[in-house]
Amino acid sequence: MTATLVNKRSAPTGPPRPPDGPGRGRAVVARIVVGVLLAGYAVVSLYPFLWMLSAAFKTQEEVVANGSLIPQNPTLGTLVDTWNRLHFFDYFLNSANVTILTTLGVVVIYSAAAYAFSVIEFPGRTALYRLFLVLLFVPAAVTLLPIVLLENQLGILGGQFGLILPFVNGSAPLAILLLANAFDAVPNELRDAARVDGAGELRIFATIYVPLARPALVTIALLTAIPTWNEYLLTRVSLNDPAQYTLPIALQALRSEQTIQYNTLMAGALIVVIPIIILFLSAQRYFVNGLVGAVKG
Amino acid sequence: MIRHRRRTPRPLVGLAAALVLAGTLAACGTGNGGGGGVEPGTTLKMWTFKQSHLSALQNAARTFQEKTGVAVNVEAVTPDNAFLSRVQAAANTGDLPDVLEVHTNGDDFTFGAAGLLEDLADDVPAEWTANYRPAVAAEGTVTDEYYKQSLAPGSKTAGVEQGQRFSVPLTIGTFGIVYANRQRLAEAGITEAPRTWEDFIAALDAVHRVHLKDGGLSLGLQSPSTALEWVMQPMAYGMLGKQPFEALFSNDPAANWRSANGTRVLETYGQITPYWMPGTQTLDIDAADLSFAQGRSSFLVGGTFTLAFLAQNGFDLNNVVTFPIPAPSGGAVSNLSLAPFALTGLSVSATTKHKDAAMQWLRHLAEPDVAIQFARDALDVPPTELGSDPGTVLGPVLGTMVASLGQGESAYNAGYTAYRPGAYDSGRVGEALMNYTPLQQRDAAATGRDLADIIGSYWSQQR
Amino acid sequence: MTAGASGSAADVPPRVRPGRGPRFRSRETAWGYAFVAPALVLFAIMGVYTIAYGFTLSFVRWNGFTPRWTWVGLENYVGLLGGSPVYGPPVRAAALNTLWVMIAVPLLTVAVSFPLAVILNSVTRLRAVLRSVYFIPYVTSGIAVYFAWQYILEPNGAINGILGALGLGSLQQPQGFLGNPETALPTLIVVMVWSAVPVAMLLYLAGLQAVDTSLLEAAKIDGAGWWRTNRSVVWPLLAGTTAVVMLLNLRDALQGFQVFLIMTNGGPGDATNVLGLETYRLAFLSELGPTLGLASALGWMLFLIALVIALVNQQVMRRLR
Repeated sequence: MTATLVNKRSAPTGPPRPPDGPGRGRAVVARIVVGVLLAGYAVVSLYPFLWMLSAAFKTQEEVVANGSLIPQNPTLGTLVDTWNRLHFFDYFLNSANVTILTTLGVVVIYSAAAYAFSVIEFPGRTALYRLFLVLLFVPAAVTLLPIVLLENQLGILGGQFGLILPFVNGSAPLAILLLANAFDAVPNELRDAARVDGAGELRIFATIYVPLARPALVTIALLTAIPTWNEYLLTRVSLNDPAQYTLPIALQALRSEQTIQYNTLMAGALIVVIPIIILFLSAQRYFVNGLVGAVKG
Repeated sequence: MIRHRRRTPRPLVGLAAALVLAGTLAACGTGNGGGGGVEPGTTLKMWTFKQSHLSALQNAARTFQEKTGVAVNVEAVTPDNAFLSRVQAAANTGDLPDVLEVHTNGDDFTFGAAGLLEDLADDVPAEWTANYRPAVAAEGTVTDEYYKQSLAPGSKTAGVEQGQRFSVPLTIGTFGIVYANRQRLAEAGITEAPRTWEDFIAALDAVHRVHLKDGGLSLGLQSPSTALEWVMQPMAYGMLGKQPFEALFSNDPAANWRSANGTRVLETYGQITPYWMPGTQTLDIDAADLSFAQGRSSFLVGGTFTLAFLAQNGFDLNNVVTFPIPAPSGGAVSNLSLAPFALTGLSVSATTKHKDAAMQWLRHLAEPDVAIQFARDALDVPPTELGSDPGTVLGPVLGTMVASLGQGESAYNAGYTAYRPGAYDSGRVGEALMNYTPLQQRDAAATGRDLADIIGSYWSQQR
Repeated sequence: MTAGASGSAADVPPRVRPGRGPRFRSRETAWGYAFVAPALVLFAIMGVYTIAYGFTLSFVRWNGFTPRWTWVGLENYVGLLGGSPVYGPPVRAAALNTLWVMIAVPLLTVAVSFPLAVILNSVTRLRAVLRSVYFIPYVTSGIAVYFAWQYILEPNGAINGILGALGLGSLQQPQGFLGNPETALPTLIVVMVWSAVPVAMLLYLAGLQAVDTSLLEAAKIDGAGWWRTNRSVVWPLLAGTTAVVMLLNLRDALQGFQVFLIMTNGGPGDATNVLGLETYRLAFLSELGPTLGLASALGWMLFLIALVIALVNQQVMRRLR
């Protein structure tokens, strides 16, 4: 989100560490409290996910009994069986395509727009910027039906672009909001200096602003990719050809073939979510650094 | 419209609708008016929204192909909302299958009104419908009553015309059927199916004492209309009899839910309160059925169609006792039975290029031997006359259930709804009833007032 | 969101550059339009039609199936605002529930995520790991995680089990936390906050990293303790972030329905029906009823409310700055 020019490492805002002496005991207590709070919320964050994990390794009887978080007789059977029935690779590619193209679209289109809103002066800038922000509040339930009708007329209903275009367009407000703020943090002087060197607008954008705002770009990419990967509503409504199904829809289809048991559902959910977890973990380096003063020097 | 299963999510309806609109225009004039023979080698496409019907339909398709040389390719599209969205999209691209299984007197009328279905009125002769039980032979036809309902503002079937027929019955049945765990009944000393409401409550109590944790009654109350239409209404009908029962839904405070009758019905119904399975108010219909199949509850209220679900989910059918929701002793109807009505039907799309073959396929499914085989395969009730001993043709469990179905004044027909206002929404009415039991937020008299107020609001829309 | 600048959400990026020659300005203008062109073109294709169509829909009665719709003017709006005895009461009940959600979710999200971010920012060990862990609820935000919650909350689920084991049996919910109309809505609020904290925490972390250390050092020299530093230096500096967090969550509280649809479908009874869910129900779950127009009208009223709240939010944040 924030690219900032603050050169220093982030400020320690935690409990101050007093020097040796009588304050020491208090510091220890404070550190214990901090540790407990952090660990406690870690448990809260993970708890439902751990149940998903645990159910995926349980037998059906054990799931019915609810029972404990740790499976008594852990089995890989559920996971393997679900994997086979889900035809993961058939749908993985669809999901990956939609997610990658959507994310790419969002990053490219709205970093350009945000750049214009942030640094270029042109008539109508304020009005257009406000327009995009107001779109943040248009309820999805209202536009779902018109989107399907429109796509039907454009002939893209049921295909991947029928998903990608509305996903990209729907991400506009948040992406512009966050990216424009990130570009704001880049000092004007850099642009002026580049200008003097004869650089054009495109080159300034691509060689100065984009690298400096890379953390914000990674952030918006993740904030786009994750919901897109999990998206269900519009996808469910617009896809009819099983060959186009994304993973969440394939999982739903599995459920509707027959009533599936809870452990199978959780195993399926786990399989669906693992690629995005991998993506998150591998991107989180940029994510993290990005949040720290991205612009060093 | 009677939706016997899954009142819950049907996200596509609207969209669907929209797509159909476009499809309708494209569809004009492509229908094959009939006449001409059926070419062997034709392949029909058919969609059903019931997984439990798939293999039974495929079996029937085999015998059909042997007879006529026409193959039928059956595909199950579930759940309901996915089925509807598929229909929409297909209508739009002109890809509707030749034959569709639909909810009778519901989807068929809506699709028909939008021009998606062939009007079968002239294609189904009397010797064909003679195969069906007389009570259901005409279902799928736009009768006087259905036509009048379609004229009410807000009607879901606006656009149908009197006398049109959009489907022929495939399965019949009703809801309000109690499934009880035979073994647990026996453990509580109960060996016979309860015949009165009091017996039923006593049985619930007895099993509850032996099985404190899992002795309860499960019902998919996330769709609140289930308690209303599957439990309370049959009981109320048995208690009051036809006229006073129907008057409960009127706008007359001396006879509707606000009246002494209303309170009496609610108080009797409220006896069920201690015996719900804990948390049943959060379950959808499938989850409630599953709870029973997995032994987490000992009673379940469902419909004739629930049997197939239980079998599919591994419940031993020898361990089930079924009986209709009984009337209170001393009630107006001493021997309450439930009248069957058509639940699902078969429709032919307006865009089919093989109307003759499709009609033959529908006819084939109506042949008594085919229908009975279908019923046995699908564990569902056929619309066919079954004679005096349905058990021998359908097997003991399904046979017992069919035998308990009745007709006439002493039979409650859940499919008959003309006494209710046109805009009636059983989901909202059911929510008010839920506040009484199991939620216990309101007492009987207050609930009666709530029900009367909601139903009154629907009457105010009438005209 | 640059914390230091505390730009509130609807603000235009603040920079205004000194004017230069007219030739330069026209070139600059051209570049400006060129850069926003892709976004505008996409909006023109996908956005304009759908919004206009959706808006028109709010003035008609239609089930989506019939070949034509009926123009009813403002009837849908009037009916929802209480003019219709059928649709008025459920909307009123849902509005009350929505109000609770709108108050509780943004406040609780801020109350959890701000301290969490501050504390997380202060530790050095395990920071990256913890950040990932705290982000997991967002990563798994598909439908399945709500099923997992359901499972945890049911009568013989894990929460009741834990309460029993801790000797807090009196807090157990024998009907499950979603089965009791008194606890169902608060429980869903907790689940919503749980889902909202990751992104809020991330925004706060971003803001914290941008806080100028010299300010904090100055505070320390003044003898301000940990609490006072965060309360009177960091918190005001992050007002802009708070504004954004509040805004995003207000929007979700007002319009979101997925949690409700999956976990309770508005139940038990109508205890957790909210306006977002009501919109969805009218649009897609009305069993072929002609309520698309009502759904759209309700949606646009929610849009208007959200817009008003956003403007108020902006004014308030501006004053606080």
